[in-house]
Amino acid sequence: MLCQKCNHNNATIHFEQNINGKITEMDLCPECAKEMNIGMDMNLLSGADSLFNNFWGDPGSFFTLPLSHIAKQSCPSCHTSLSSLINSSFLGCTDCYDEFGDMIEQNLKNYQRGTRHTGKRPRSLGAAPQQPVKEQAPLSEADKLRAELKQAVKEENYERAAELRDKIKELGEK
Amino acid sequence: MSDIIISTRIRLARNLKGYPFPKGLNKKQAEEITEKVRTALKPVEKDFRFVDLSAIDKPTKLSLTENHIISPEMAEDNKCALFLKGDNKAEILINDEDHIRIQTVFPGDDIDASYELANKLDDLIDESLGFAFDEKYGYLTACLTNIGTGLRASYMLHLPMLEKTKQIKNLQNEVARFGMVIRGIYGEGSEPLGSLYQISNQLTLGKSESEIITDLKNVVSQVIKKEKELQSKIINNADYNDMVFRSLGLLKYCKKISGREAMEHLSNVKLGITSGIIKDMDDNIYNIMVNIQPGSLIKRAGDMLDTKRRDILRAEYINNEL
Repeated sequence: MLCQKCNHNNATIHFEQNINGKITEMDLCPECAKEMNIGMDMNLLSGADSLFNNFWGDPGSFFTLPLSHIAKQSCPSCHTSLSSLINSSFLGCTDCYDEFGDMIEQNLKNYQRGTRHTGKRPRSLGAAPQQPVKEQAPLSEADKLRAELKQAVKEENYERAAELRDKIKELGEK
Repeated sequence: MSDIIISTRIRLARNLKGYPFPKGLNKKQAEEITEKVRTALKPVEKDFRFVDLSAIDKPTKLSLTENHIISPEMAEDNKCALFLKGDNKAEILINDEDHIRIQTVFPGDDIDASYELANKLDDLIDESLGFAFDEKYGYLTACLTNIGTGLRASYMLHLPMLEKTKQIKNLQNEVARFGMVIRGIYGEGSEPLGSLYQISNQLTLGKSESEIITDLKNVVSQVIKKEKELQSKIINNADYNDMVFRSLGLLKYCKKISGREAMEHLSNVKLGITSGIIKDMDDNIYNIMVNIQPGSLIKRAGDMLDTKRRDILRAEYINNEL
């Protein structure tokens, strides 16, 4: 189904508005929905499993749209809806990762160590795309001594620590 | 140390592009995936046997569940299939929560070997099927709790003294700080049977496989150190000596015993062996624990058993083993 506003993109959001009993319905693409400031309704969240309130972060901070708006976003490939994702933390297919990208990104931060994979790549994909390598500046003489000092203190070798402290001071004066 | 570590496990969650995740698969798609994996496993086909979960009997399913090879949900789902390695060190689960789950388990302290085998199987299947992978999110999984590496690495540990001194709760909080989780293996809630626990990583994204495994090793070695310290103090303690030998006597001569009671006494005997209270006895206790679970008993008896008959067979089996 095409978006009823731009008549160009696929509509994946069903939007209903109820103003004094007059119901307006529209099917929209995510871009137009965003433009019209339509998002999730708090009511959709009330059914969310309390276990995942934590998982999805504080709902109040993310879903800040008026209560009169009800929008249902769903994955174009498998029709998994955003509300079912919120209820279960299960996705329907790999395309859901694109469809609900922003939402997933927001919430992975609360749940995982980071939002970027740093582990293995499938061999079938070949080498990783080139990424600019950050070169680390070599440690200055004073930094090296400071690291040594830290170690000496940790080992309770105070004689050596005093020596190092004096050396660092000397370097600073030059 | 290996007497406290029962086994190490690795699980890799993988999915194929072009199919919905297993919950949304129809029977035909599910079979297609099974066939694709069968083809991918051709180079190692003599090592693996195919288990059609919709065709095996209930006791076999129950014993697969008790051996932690399949989940109870998987046993009930007719879209699932299983390729089992002949030496039981690896299994490939099809259409459980994810399309493909590679699991390896090695007895004793051998997490590196567990990972190495899983990694090899991962490469082999990927070579012909190509897994769903995103440059940013890594391996895409049905649940966000597994995304990234798809790796769950775990140790199965016997922690009787930490349990008896009521330190498991503290431990839970402590390991959680490192993104790890500790839970009982048999039984529900706060009193796991047999003092058997699993420690595994909870975070799967943002750390590499080797970082996850190294962190887990470090946490586990701390836990073992604590358990060992406690065990070293009981060797001359009259109360513990009495407890251990009472359990041993009871297990040797009982004529009928419930699963719960057997697990408690077996755990005491295992503690006796690892702490040095019992000398000159091989530590085969964990195997006995596995073999006295209902599914294993029923499977050996070749017949469905009522509770009373099960308790009698269980006692007979333990008498013989000890």
